[in-house]
Amino acid sequence: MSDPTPVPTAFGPNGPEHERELLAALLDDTDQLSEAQLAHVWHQLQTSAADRQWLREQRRMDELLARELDPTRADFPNRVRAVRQRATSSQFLRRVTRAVAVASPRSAPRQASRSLRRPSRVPLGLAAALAAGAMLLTAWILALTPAPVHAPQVVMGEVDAEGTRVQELPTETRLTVGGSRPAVITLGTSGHAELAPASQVELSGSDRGCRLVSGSGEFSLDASAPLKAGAAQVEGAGAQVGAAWVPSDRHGAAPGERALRLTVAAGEAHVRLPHQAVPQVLHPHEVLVVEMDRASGAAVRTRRILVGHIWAVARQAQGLAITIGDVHSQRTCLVTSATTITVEAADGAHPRQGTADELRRGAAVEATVGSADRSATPVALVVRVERSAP
Amino acid sequence: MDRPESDQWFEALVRDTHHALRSAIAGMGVPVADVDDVAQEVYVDFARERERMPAGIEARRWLLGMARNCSYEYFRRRRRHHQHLIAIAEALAQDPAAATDADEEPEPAVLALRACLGRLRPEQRALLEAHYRDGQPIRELARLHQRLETTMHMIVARLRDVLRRCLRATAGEAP
Repeated sequence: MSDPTPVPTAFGPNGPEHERELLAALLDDTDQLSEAQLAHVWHQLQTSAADRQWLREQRRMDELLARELDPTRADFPNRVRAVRQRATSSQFLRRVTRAVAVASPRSAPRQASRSLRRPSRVPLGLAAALAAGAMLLTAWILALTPAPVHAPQVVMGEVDAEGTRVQELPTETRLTVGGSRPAVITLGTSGHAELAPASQVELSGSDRGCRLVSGSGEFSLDASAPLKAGAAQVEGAGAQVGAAWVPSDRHGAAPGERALRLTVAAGEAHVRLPHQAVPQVLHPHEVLVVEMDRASGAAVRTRRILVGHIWAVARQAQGLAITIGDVHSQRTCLVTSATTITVEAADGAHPRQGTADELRRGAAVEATVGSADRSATPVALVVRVERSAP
Repeated sequence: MDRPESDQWFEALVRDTHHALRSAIAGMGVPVADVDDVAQEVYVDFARERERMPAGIEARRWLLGMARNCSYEYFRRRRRHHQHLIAIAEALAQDPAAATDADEEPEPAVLALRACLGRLRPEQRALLEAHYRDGQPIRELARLHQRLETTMHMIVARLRDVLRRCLRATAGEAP
């Protein structure tokens, strides 16, 4: 590789101690070092085999110490097994459902894909979302009340399944809105979605949800109400935005009310709710639960929940700082002595009260947080145990 | 012996190699807090595309190659100064010793490390525990101990040197 930048003159050879101060600082937090300092470190390593050896050994001792002293790192093989099992079951389900969809006699003849077709005009309400261009939105819509399951269908517009025009929508298959008009589709029991042209969705067979992969849409869970009257509009402001909607019955929605859950995969999303002028901003690993009045479509109550896998657990003076997220983004909440922690299996069975010591890096976690001032708000954590104990 | 495509074979491979793999990833400069995430990515990618491993190559060697690529990818994703971080990782990996170091089995080292930690003075051990167990950054430790940050960096680095020498001495004592 070529030299990233010239060696700065400000860093001369001031002796091995000074040089290794920079190398040691590199171990702690590379973000603290300037570009010039990093370039100097690189140059130093290029010219000194002893420094390379010293830094490698320091790095490895750093990792060894962390492994010995940080109890959250002790269960690595179990962590890999759990992650792999999740991925395997998901891939298997997708393969099977796709095979079923392809084998369906109702499938229409294959046509050329329209996924790259650009819309010539768009509905006014969706213009802002489409203008964002490369947004990636993911949405799940589910009906709250159990009801007879009807196969999702296209009510209006054109939808292609992997290049084939379809009327009845297969699950676990990438669907693309064709043509220049929005498409309206039914969703399982009682929901509707109006999708912008060129938007892409996937329907889930297991939970009757609709996952919006790209584009934008307006979603309503109540088939009896006019489409726009209880619909929430999702707009992404980042390059990779996703959203998820799941049933609210797991989260204590009041009887007779419907609730939507919305999450963002990356970037941030602006959620416009009926009868609310100001959009709410949603970040990754947050779930916005919107409970809506069935008759008016107005938002009755909104709550935010942190959901994801534990990225880090750090002790602070006030308690434990639990960071939830992945390599791309993280959200942090504070666990204090007032926090109630419920530990349960991945399927929600046998919940029991737990302790902060049971929080492990890599565990799935769900944290209900209150207002924006999280430090002042006790949280209730649900840690879902997805693997055996170390 | 289990077939290479079996789950048992894969889990045995993880058990046998994860110490060395995590050590190698750390050796390339991935921050210690992120080493396990990169290692997990390596194993999940390996499990997903096992057929890409050429016949006749040792799985451990293949994993170490993947670890290097995943580490570079990790730096690219960080965006900030990623070119410099990749260049530093390449510099660290250029020595033949870098590859042989990874073959050292660190599991016995973890056990020996406990004994070596026990030989430190209480305040030295407390400092390492505050940093590694409690996650206190060097900056915070420097503030608490009223030292310069660079001084605290070097204090912790010297403690690591002491422990490394202790480990080597322990390994030398082993039969």
